[in-house]
This record gives sequence, C-alpha cells and structure tokens, in this order.
Amino acid sequence: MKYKRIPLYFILPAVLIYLSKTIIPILIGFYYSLYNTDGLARFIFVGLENYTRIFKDAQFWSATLVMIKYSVMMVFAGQLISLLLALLFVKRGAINNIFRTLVFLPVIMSMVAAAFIWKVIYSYNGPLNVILDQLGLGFLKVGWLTDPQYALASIVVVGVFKGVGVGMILYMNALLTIPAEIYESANIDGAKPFSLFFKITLPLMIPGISIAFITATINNLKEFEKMLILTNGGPVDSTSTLGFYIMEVATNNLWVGYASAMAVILLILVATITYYQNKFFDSRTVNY
Amino acid sequence: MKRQSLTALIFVLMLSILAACGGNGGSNESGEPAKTPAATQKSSEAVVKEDPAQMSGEISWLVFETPNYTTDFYKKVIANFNAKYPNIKVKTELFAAGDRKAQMNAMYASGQLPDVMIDAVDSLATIDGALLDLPADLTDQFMEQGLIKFNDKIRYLPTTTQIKMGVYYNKDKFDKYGLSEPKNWDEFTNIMKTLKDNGEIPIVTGGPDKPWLTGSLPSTVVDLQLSEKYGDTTGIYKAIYDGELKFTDEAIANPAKEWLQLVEKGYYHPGTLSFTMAQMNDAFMHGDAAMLVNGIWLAPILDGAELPFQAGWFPVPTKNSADKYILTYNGAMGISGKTKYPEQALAFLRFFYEDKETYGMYLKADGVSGALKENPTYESGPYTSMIYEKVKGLTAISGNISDSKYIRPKGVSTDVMYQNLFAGAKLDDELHKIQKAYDDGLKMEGRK
Amino acid sequence: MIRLLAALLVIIFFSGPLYVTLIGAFKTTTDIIRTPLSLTRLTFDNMIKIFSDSNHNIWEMYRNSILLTSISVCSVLIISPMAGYYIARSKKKRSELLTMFFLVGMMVPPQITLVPMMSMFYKLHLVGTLWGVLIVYGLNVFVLILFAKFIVTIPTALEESAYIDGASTPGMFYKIILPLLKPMIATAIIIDGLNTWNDFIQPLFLFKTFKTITYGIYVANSVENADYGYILGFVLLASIPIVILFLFLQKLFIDGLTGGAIKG
Repeated sequence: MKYKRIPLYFILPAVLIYLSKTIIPILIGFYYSLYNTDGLARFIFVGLENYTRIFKDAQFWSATLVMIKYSVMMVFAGQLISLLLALLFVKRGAINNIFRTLVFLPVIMSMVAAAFIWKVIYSYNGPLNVILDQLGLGFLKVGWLTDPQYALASIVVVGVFKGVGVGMILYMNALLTIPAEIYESANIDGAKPFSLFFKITLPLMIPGISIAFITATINNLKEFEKMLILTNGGPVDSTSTLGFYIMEVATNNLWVGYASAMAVILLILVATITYYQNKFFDSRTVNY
Repeated sequence: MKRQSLTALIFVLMLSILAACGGNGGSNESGEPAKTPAATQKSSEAVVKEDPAQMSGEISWLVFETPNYTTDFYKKVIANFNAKYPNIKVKTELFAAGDRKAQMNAMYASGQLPDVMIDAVDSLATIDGALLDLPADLTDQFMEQGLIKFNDKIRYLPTTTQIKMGVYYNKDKFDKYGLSEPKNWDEFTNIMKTLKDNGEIPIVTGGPDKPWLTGSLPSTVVDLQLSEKYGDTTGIYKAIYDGELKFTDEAIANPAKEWLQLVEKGYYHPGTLSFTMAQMNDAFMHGDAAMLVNGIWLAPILDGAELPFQAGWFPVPTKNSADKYILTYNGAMGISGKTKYPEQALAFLRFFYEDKETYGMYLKADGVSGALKENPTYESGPYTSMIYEKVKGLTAISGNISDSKYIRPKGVSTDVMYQNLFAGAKLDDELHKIQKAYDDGLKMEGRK
Repeated sequence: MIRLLAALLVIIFFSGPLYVTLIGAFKTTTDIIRTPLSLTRLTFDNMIKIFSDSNHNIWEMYRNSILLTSISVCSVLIISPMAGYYIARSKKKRSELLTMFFLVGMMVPPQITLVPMMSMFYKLHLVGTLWGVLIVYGLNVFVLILFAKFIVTIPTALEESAYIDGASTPGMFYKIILPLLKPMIATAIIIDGLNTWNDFIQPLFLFKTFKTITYGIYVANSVENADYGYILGFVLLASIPIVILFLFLQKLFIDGLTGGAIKG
C-alpha cells in the first residue's frame, strides 16, 4: 500500500524515550556483566568469567527449572481461565458488567496489596484453613506457602487472581472484533455451536490470542515480585525462579556483575521463546 | 494541518510545563545529591560552634518503626534535641523495606542517602567516603568491643547492647506439670516431651520475612556451643575464615541435628513456619504455646501487656549447661559522607548519645542497655528487671564480629539455612551449600 | 447449569479476598489474625492513624500518585497511537523489525535495567525530576504494540480514498484513524494508568521525592511488627481512586467495544 509515507516524527518520541529507558540501561547492564562489581565501588574486569560461572552454578539451573514450571502453569491456567471468562461475560448487560468488574478488580490492586492479602489468607491460621476446618475438610490443611510441595502452586493461584482480568479483556476485545455477519452466514449454513467456535471464532481470535499468550509468557518468565513478597524464594528455593534468583544475587550478595550476566542470559531466553511464539501465531493468522 | 499542529501544540505545552517545573520535584527534602562532597570540614565554618542556638539547617533522619519505637517516640527525641538546638530541623524518614541493608545500598547508589541513619549503615562502611568518619572525642565514649575500625576510622556507632535470644516460658504451665527450668539440652527436650504428651504445644517460632525468627533457637545453640572452643563470635568466624572450622564439621552439624529433632518430633506449633512475629508473640501471650525464643525486646511488651499467666525466662541451654547467653552490640548509626550539614548532623548524633534523658529513653523502650562506657540507667518493668537480674549470674558471650576481616560475605545467612531445614531440606546438603556460598562470597568480594 | 457454577466460583474466588481486605481495613490486627471473616468489632482506628501519621502526608501521596499517573497517561496517549500507526502502515519488513525492537523492551528483565538506571539518574541529576518521570513512565511498550497490532486490522480503504481526495497524513490520522481507536484508547488508559499507579519499585529507587501511595503500602509493610489493619487500610485507600476511575471508564469502554463489533 504505497499511498503515502508517514512522517518520521510520528515515531520519534517513542524511540527517544525507549532508547533512554530501555536500550541504554541494557547496554550498561551488559557492560556490568563483564565485571565483578557491586554496583557501588568494586569494579574488577573479568571478561566472560561471569558467563562461564553460570554453567557451573547448580542454583541457576534449578531456578531455571522453577521458572519454566511456573510459566507453564501460569500461562495455561491463566489463559484458559481468561478465555472462559471472556466467553462467559462478553455480552452486554448489567449482570455481565458486574462480573467483569469483579474479575478485573484484582488487576487494579497493587501487587503489594494483592500479595499481602493472599499471604494473610494462606497463613496457617488464616481464612483458607479456617474455612477448610469449618467445612470438615481439615485434613486438607497444609502450609500453603511454607510447604515446598505446594508453595509454587499457591503462588500460581495468586497470579491467576491478579492476572486473568487483563487476559479476559484482551480476549473480549478479540471476540468483539469478529464481524457479526460471519456468524450469520455460518448459522445459515447450519453449523453447530461447538464447531463454530473451533473453526471460526478461535482462528479469527488468533491475533488477540497471540498477544495475550506472548505477553503472559514474557511476564511470567521474568517474574520475581510475587515470590519476593509471598515466600522470599523459599521454602527451600522451591519458588526461586530465575528472575528471583537474579534479584537475590544482585541485592543480597551484591554480585551485580554476575546478576547482570544472568539477566542477559534470561533476556536471550525470553527473546528466543517470544520469537518462536510470534512465528507460530503469525503462521496461523487467518483473514477472511 | 490544523490537527497536526494541535497535537504538536499539546506536546510542546507539556514539555514547557515540564521544563518550568523541572526544578522542584515534589516535596522539599534533601533528596537532591550535593554536587560536592561535604565530608571535609570546611575551615570557613567554625569547627566547633560556640552557641547551639546559632546552628541552623535541616537534616533528615532515617529510622525504623517497631511497637516500641513509634512515631511519637521519635518525635519526643527530636523535641528534646530542638530544646537545645532550636534552629536545626530534623525530619524523619522511614525505612521502606524489610531488608534495611539492601535499601541502604540502593539509596547510596542513587545518591539519596539521608543525613543521619539509625541503622544498617554498616553495609556502606567499607566504601570510602560513603560515611562520615566520626571524631575521636565522640567514639572514645563507647565501649571498645562495640566499635569496628575501617581504614583506622570509626564510621558508625552501635546504639544498644542486647541480650539476644532467651527462652520465655509459661510458668503456669510448667508448674502444672511439675517442670522447672532446664540445666542442659537433654532436660530441655524432656520438658518439651512432657508438654507434648500432655497435649500442650511446647514451642512456637516464626518465619516468612524474618528468617532470624526461625533461626533464633538453632543459631544460638550452635554459637554457644562453639564458643566453648573458640571463645566468642569473633573467634568462631576467624576459625571459619582461616578454614579451621567448616560449616560441615560436627561441631556445627551436631547441635543443628539436635535442634532438628525438636522439629521432627512435632514440638513446634503447627503451621509455625508461616507465623509473623506478631502471630508468634500472640500464640505465646494467649497461652497457646508454652515456650518462645525471642530477644530482650519482648520483655517490655510483656511488661505492658496483661498476660493471663505468669511468665519466666531462662537462657538457651547447650549440651552441658544453661549458663551462657549472647550479648550483641546492635545498630549502626552513622552520617552520610555527602551530607550538606555535617556539623548539624554531628551535633544531632552527639546529642542522641550524650543527653542522658534521650539516650535513656531510647534504651528503656526496648529494654536494652547502652553501648557507651557509661550508660544512663532507667526503671524497667517486672519482666525486664527479672531478666537483667538473672543474667548477672550468667556468662556473656560477645555476639559481634569485631574485626572487619572476618565479616561474613554478603548473602551468607545461617538463619535462612535453618528455615530451609525446618521446611524439610537435608542437613548435609544445606551445610555444604552454605560452606560453598561462604567460599564463593569471599572470592567474589576479592577477600581471599 | 455451567454458567451458574462458574459465576459462583468467580464470586467466591474474586470477591473473597476483596471482602477480607475491605473489612480488614476496619479491624485491629489481632482481630484480623483470629477472626478474619467476621463483621464484629469494626473500628475506624486504622483510618485515623493513617491520616494523622506524621511520617507522611496522605494527601501529598495521593497528589504524587495522581501526578505521575496523569503525566504517564497523557504522554502514552499522545505517543503510542502515532507510533503504532507508523508501525502498522509500514512495509512488512520494517514493521516486523520495529515490533521486535520494541518487544525487547517488554522482554527485558527489570533486574538488568534497575541498577544502571539508578546510576544513570544519579549522574544526570534526574533523580526526583519531572524529566525523569517522563523517561520512566512516558512510554508503555505494551500499549504501543497493542495499538500497532490493532491498527493493522483497520482496512486501508478509507485512508486510500482520503489520500486520493488530497488529505495529508496527519490529517488522515486525526480524522479517520483516531475515532476508530476509541476502545483501544480506553484500554490504553486503563493499562497504563494502572501500571503507573501501582508501581512502587521505581518511586522507591528513582523518585524518592515523589512518595506515591502504593509506596506507602510498601513502607507500611516494612514496620517490624506489621500492623495488618493499618496496611489493609492503606491498601483500601490506594485502590479506591483507581476503582472509581475504572468504573467511570467502563461505560466508555463497553460502548466502544460493542460499537466495534459492527464493523466491516
């Protein structure tokens, strides 16, 4: 469509800000990764030593595993629930409106707030266990955040609580961009609702799904705030994702150089996964 | 055309507004970094002001809040100060994070260090110029073991000495089952067994954001036992630094194992690992758990509360005895090296310690004793006094590392290890992990 | 039926914690620990404490939060549609390149950028200035990419005919594209507004002089013997304005959405 050229100034401000707040700090971070530094006074050039260290670091690998476990759980649980919620409450109407607002309210809360509330709920004498007792299900009581077996899953629940609102809106947006005529013509042809959904609705939603999936994946791979507030990486590092481990090394041990090196690796990892995800969805995009 | 210029106009307007307000960022505080370090004593400003009323300026004071140190408390301190120095304004700032050391580093890195800080400046002490070197006539007033030199200078001062962990117990429950204070570890375990057999919850601890809550008992036991061979904490960490003592040695592994037995036998309150300090104290003070390991700062709280029972205290028992306790110098109060008001900050620092009423007030609130050679005394409540009476007959083991050479590398925490053990990690693995972290840390920091 | 069950689950899961928060803000800490669900012994003590605490000024915190958020939203709304339009209407290669370029911004772990940003801000004296605010909050990469992907779905027919009629690019943008972006604009306001309002890490390290209200929650949580009632009170205060904003924007949002369904 070579009908015009859009002036450069349309994109200039965005690029300028982006350079200052993202690109330049990344370059500085990369620079740090070549040093043994504490970010304050100690700066010893070590070249690629930080990177070779990563391969020998057992905790790096276990943190990566935790990160993958967490992301997989979050993305699938989260996206599925978001889609279901979008399908349930997409139509106009006061009741739907109320439900949508309800689902979206946790998104509005600050992360500290939501995490704090769930910390209270999950505590051994907290509301969750109290309710289990009252329902006669006392044997299900567990240290939700203090038992290595359950801690990560408990955090996923908090993530779902806080995140599905956004997914729901994105999916709703995608649903509503499908022109009504397509449904009409399909109905005339006598299609059943189930196949309607899978053959028409879902494919047309792919741009929306792609963006929801990709951003969710990216955010979950980097995640560390929830772990910081809810479990501080414990118990026994069962919730120490790579993002958390990096932050811990940077702020606790003050090995800023090593942390930067790991962050660079994380960035490459995220970029690779995103690239392939993007390709996957682009190839499935359908235009009627 | 019209639209384009409208958008551009809005953009330009925004920029001009920003440019105009660029100077005053929000409220006025000394957040703006001084362009030149004010650490050197300028000769133009008289080194010793004759008249306190003449000194003027504004300093910020970073403090932390606890049930004993409240906003009102700090206000009183400042009011006392202003009675002598009416023209120096002091504004308090709160530590905004649970991890004070991390926040200290972050503030320094972004040039936002307040003028005076009541704690945690020790993490900056190794960086030349980060903190103001303190004058000898001030530091000479302190007990030597509480001070630590960096490049031959003192950069921060301890605020208190504290009787660290001890076992608070429910006397009523002990009497009910004919129990008395234990003289050694075995008696201690038997007490717990008796309590549990009778359906009581022997002991409670805490966890989440404060690993020291979980580590309180095990680390005290381990350190007290090690002190039999190495003297005090400095001795212990010197041995570790020299490689003489390793975390994996039996000397550490055995007491840790004994403590783990308590966990495995179920003597701890169910769900205790998820308790905050508030919940932990609450469990004890409501009579749910019979014992609790906490520091001296619990005593004033007990004094002020209306307990439904009589409480007692005994020192943490070791294998063979129960006659030692750990005494630490706490706090790390210092002045930023880049403060714009060094004279005033120093005056404030001096006043805090030298004014008997103010320093006394500070000590009384937490039930602790002072770090000076001559400390103000105060009247304390029944429980606080009881504990101080008791420790007169016990041996104090210093809990501080007095040589900066032996300080643990950052990130090496025995408390976190004990938390992991409590949650089910294997002892051998954890001990190996912490030894490795220690060795790596020394290497990374270029210390060995 | 299934809908009913789902609705019930939603109510319990989403409003349960909110209920605990709402009543928790009006209870004492002991009550929250011992009887988290009951409605007895409600008190205003927490609120009184928050408003009279001399360590901070609630109104100033609100002002700072609103300041930062408005700057961010205004800036994002000006920059993003234009940039998104540029990307959407560029040739495939260029748009792919640009999208990838900006995607990096979303992928980059904040751990890489936080420490360098702190040093950068310090050296350039940007700490606590409004220019600093603009750099940190002026662009929201997620919103930018949303606009780009959204505008791509708008058929170019309208623009082509307008061009033939002799309209200029900016004019076309303003008259034709912008009106179609209404639902996206509402979404952008919500997403960016929330992002900025709830952020506490950046005010913590980069804008100490702008104490926002979410920063207040974080501070309240760090008090040694955390007073749950006090913290929950803060949480409530921090959330109310944004909830109101959301409810207000909801109408705009829904109208825009349903309007968009009838397209073609």
